[in-house]
Parts: sequence; structure tokens; C-alpha cells
Amino acid sequence: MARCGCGGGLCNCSVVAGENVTVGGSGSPANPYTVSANVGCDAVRPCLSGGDGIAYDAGTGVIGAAVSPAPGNNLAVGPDGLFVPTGAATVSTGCGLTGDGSGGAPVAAAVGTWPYPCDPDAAGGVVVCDSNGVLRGEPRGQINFFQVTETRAYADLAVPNELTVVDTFELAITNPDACRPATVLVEREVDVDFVLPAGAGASYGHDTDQMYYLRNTGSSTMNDAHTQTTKLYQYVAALAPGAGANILLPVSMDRGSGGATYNRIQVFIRAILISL
Amino acid sequence: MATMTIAGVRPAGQLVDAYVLYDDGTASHMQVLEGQEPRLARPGRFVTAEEYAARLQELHVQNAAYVAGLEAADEARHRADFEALVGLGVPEGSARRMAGFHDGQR
Repeated sequence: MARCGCGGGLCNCSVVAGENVTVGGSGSPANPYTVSANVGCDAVRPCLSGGDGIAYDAGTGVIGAAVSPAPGNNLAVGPDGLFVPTGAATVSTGCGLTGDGSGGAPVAAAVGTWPYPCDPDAAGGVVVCDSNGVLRGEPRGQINFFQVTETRAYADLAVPNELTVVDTFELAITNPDACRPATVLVEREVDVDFVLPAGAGASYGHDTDQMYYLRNTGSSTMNDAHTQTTKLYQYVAALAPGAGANILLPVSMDRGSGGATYNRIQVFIRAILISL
Repeated sequence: MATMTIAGVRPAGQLVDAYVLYDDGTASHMQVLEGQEPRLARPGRFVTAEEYAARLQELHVQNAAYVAGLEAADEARHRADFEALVGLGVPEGSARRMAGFHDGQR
């Protein structure tokens, strides 16, 4: 337009202001046109929108941060801007935990030192979470006790001369531990009442192990001669969790002579189940 | 039967009685800890305390008669020995001790 000399009167340029536009000046170098636009906020706001993380109020035109109300969100809007506090400001550890969640003190389990000569990888216990999210350690150890005592009265039965199991006694046990096998220690006692006429002899034992022998070397009958014997041993190496077993006690006799008889056998069977 | 007690120690459980008559006539008294089942090792049946006591009494009577017979035979033998010794001139007191003859006096 300057080439046309608009400002010099050589030609004329017509500038018309449209809507929301004003035009000033004459188009001369000394007074050039000035075009100004005047657009209100109401005209602009419909063009704007907020995406994720943006809060936009089309009524007021205020644009801010959209802070999720979901539990656990630590993002806050402060006078200085957006702020996420470090763990140290929000983490408070109790017994069994240490640290505050900061970079220098991360939250960790508070543990002791392993004082044993064995390898914790092989010998250490375990800690697990139960169905309620509670930490649980190894199953509690158990010691369970079973016992039977039985006294049988007989009709003066002859003591055999050869090794013979004359009667058998029984104790049923069950390992009540649902987790661990049990070591079973068994104690068994036997007491037999013999009637020994003069010169008679008799013996009894646990299983086939003769434990007691007596011969009457006098000239009168020995009535109800008896001695109680006992043994303690490991019956089975490991009884599986919840499993049962029958502990038998066969009472044997031999060396019966001279009319020896027995009229009573008393036994004790005791079992200690150790699950550790 | 007698059970040892320890002051301040709680028993592992109460003993429960059970009575059995085995098929061969043997009478049995069992005791197990409460909650544990008595087990029969051979054919028999659980009975009442009264049934057990009745059978036990039968056996005791039978045993007493058997032992009484043995002791009567002992006595007769001791008497014979005593009388033989006296017949040989052994003083009566010595003969009684040597023969074990107490003439029914124990």
C-alpha cells in the first residue's frame, strides 16, 4: 500500500472494521491504520476444555489441577503449587517395622541377627501372611499325651514252658498336629501275678524280651509273686500329621515249670507325641 | 489305681474307667484319659462296673480255692516232714522249723 502512496493522496485505500474490530489511523506513515480486536472471555471459554489432571470451570474460566479423591493419594495443592510429601511425612512405623519411607530410611522389617552357627537359608523358619493379611510364624509346637492302663484277671492259667505271647494289650494314638509329624516316645509297663508252688518257676517279658524270672526254691507256695517292669523307647520315627497308630504290647511268658500259673496281668502304655 | 501327683501341676487329663469281659472269660479294668477311646485288643465287650465286679469276684473265689488247695498240700507235706523228723528224734521245735510246719499257725 505504501507503494501506492495511500498516505500521499495518490490513491485511496478503504479499511472497514468488522465485528469486534476497530480501525484507527488514516493509513499515512504518520498515522497508519491501527486494527484492534476486542474479544470477550465469554466468546473464548467455549473453545477451551480440560483434559486428564486438569480442572476447568467454563463458568468462571478458572483452570486448576484436578486432584484425585481416591484413597491413598498424597498429591496436594498448596499456595506454592502442587506438592507430594515424602514418605517421611506420612509413614509412621510400629513394632516390627523400621524406616519412614524417605530415601535415606526406606520402610523395612525390623529383624534381629541370626545367632546360630547353622545356615538360616536351610534352617530358618518362615513368616507368611494368613488369609486375613496377618503375619504368621511357624506352627506352634505341640506335646500330646496318650495313656491306657489295663488290669486283666485270669482263671489261674498255666505258664507255658516255651516262649509264648499269652496276651496282647493296645493303645490307639492319633497325632493331633495338623502340620507336623510327631516323634512318638512310648513307655510300657508290665506286672504279672504268678502263683508258684514249691519248686515252680515262671518268666514273663515284653514282646519276646524276657524281663523277669522267678523260681520258688522254698517248700511253700508263693501266692501272687509279682514285679513290675518298664521300658521306654521310640516306637515310630515320625507319625504323620493327623495320622493314627496302634501301639501293641504283647506279653510273653516262658520257662513255666512245677505247676506255675498266673492270674493277673497289669500293663501301662503311655505315649508322648512331640511335634516341634 | 494310685496316681502320682505333683503339687502345682495340673493333670494332663482325668482318668476314665472302662470295664471289659473278654470272650474267654477274662475280666478287665481299663483306664484311659478323658476323651481317648479304650481299644479292645481281642474279642470282648464293654460291660458295666457291676458286671465286671461279678466276674472278678468269680475269678477271685476260684483263685482262692486253687491257692487254698496248694497251701493245704504244702501243709500236709510239712506235717509229714515234721512228723518224720520228730520220729527220728529231732526235738519238736527244731523239727517244726526244719520242716516249715506251722500247724496252721502263720
